[in-house]
Amino acid sequence: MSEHTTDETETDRLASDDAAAIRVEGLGKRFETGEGVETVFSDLDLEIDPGSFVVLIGKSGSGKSTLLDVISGVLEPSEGSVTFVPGDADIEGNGREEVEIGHVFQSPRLLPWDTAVENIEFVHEDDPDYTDDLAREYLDLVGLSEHYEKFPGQLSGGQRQRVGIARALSIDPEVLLLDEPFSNLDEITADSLRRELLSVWRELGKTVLFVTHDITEAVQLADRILMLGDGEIYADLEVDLPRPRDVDSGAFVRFRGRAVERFHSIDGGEDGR
Amino acid sequence: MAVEGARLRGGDLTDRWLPRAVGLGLTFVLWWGLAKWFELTSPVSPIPYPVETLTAAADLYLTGAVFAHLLPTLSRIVVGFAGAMLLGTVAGVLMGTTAYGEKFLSPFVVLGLALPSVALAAMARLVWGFSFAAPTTAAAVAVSPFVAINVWKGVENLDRDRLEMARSFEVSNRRLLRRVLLPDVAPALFAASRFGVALSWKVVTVTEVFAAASGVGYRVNQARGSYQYVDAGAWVVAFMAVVVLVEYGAFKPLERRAFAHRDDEDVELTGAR
Repeated sequence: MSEHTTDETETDRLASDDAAAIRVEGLGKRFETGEGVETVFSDLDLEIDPGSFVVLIGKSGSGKSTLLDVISGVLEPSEGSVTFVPGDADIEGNGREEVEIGHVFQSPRLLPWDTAVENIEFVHEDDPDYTDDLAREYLDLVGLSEHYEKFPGQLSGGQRQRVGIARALSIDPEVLLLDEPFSNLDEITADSLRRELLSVWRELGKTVLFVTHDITEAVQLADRILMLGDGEIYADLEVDLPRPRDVDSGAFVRFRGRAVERFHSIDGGEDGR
Repeated sequence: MAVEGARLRGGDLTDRWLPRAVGLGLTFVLWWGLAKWFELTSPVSPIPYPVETLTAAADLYLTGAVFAHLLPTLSRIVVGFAGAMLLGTVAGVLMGTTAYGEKFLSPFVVLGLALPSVALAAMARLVWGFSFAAPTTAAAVAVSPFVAINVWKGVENLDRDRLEMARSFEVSNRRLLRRVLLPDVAPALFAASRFGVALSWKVVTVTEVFAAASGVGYRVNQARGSYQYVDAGAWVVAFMAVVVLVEYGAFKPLERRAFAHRDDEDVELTGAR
């Protein structure tokens, strides 16, 4: 384990023109509550390379989902800026208009009255090239070839999350944001989806920012792990383990052990498996 | 497959139609028993036998006499119900979206729910006299609180996660309304519509007793006044045929289409008593 330095070989291999870099400068988010102003994080600086797989980890209430929402534009920042730099262009402004962002949520947030294909069609409002074949293509990619016309209520939890992932990928995003997408699933399904996500990432080369509170999951997936706590990023670790990663291998277990130690270095606590 | 289809149809017959047939049969037996009991114990029986009532009702349709009173009643129901849906939906949306709206309108809704139909009918007669406005206004005032309370709860329980998902994929407000908000409140609107039609019919016919020179309520009251019990029963049965037609010809097919994604087709009603 080493503190972050750009691993040129790994990142360059995965990066494509379809990936964007994310630049976070002086970012802060505060909420007004009945008891005053609560600062979730402040003065965050962060640079995420195009095509990299970055995992943001933190304890419950550390503000990792809020950070993701600010980056995606669902929430406005209280201060600072988020800039997206597409891989193939110089941009003016913050680049939010130039890049597509795919969001995968903790619960897939599908429309229960629409079929799997219609759920994907829903996010293609201004896409003149959209046809249902595109939706089917992405459903194939996540292993749902037999379920095009099924309603979410007719799918298992893992299948619903797959539709959520297909929906996010179908807009051909330069950035893919995933907010604890597997935390509501059983471990077997979650592990299978992690492998599929990695396979899709290697195939499509998107920039991925993945939020979790599970250290094993973080080490399994990430090029780089950011630890968020007390309103700041207190650790930035490069994961230099070879892929595919065997969670039972000695190197993995040792790395995980050091990551756990680092995770708890900020204070005690129960989170972080 | 053919055998499976036949089995399904057989199951449909015993699961859906048999209980209805048994219920209908029991109703006729009880009705007949009641008519017999009154015949044996009263000098003049107020309860006509089922067969003579149904025959008289059929005659009303066959001679076309029913339409002179059925159509005015139906037009009053349609207008009263439409007014109630408009009033109730506006009130419900205001109550579900603003705290002020909720506080301001709640007392009116509670009072409206408690208002007896007969009192409304009498009031409508005093205010509007013998006119089209009397039964329609009475229906609109009586039904709108039920619509309001259902729409209020529907709006209040809107799934915020789905709204956030739509925002993160930059879906337009028009699409949001059509694909997310309306389907989400549809069960509440549907329940309100179904109950609203039934209640409108009751209030309109009661008001027609006091404040109309045509309509089913007027005819039932006329028959009562001249002790023509078979005639009174025939008018009630003639209108019930329309209610059954609306339920199974319009509401049920619409419900099956609108809620095809749901396992249960029953739509919960708030405030029904």
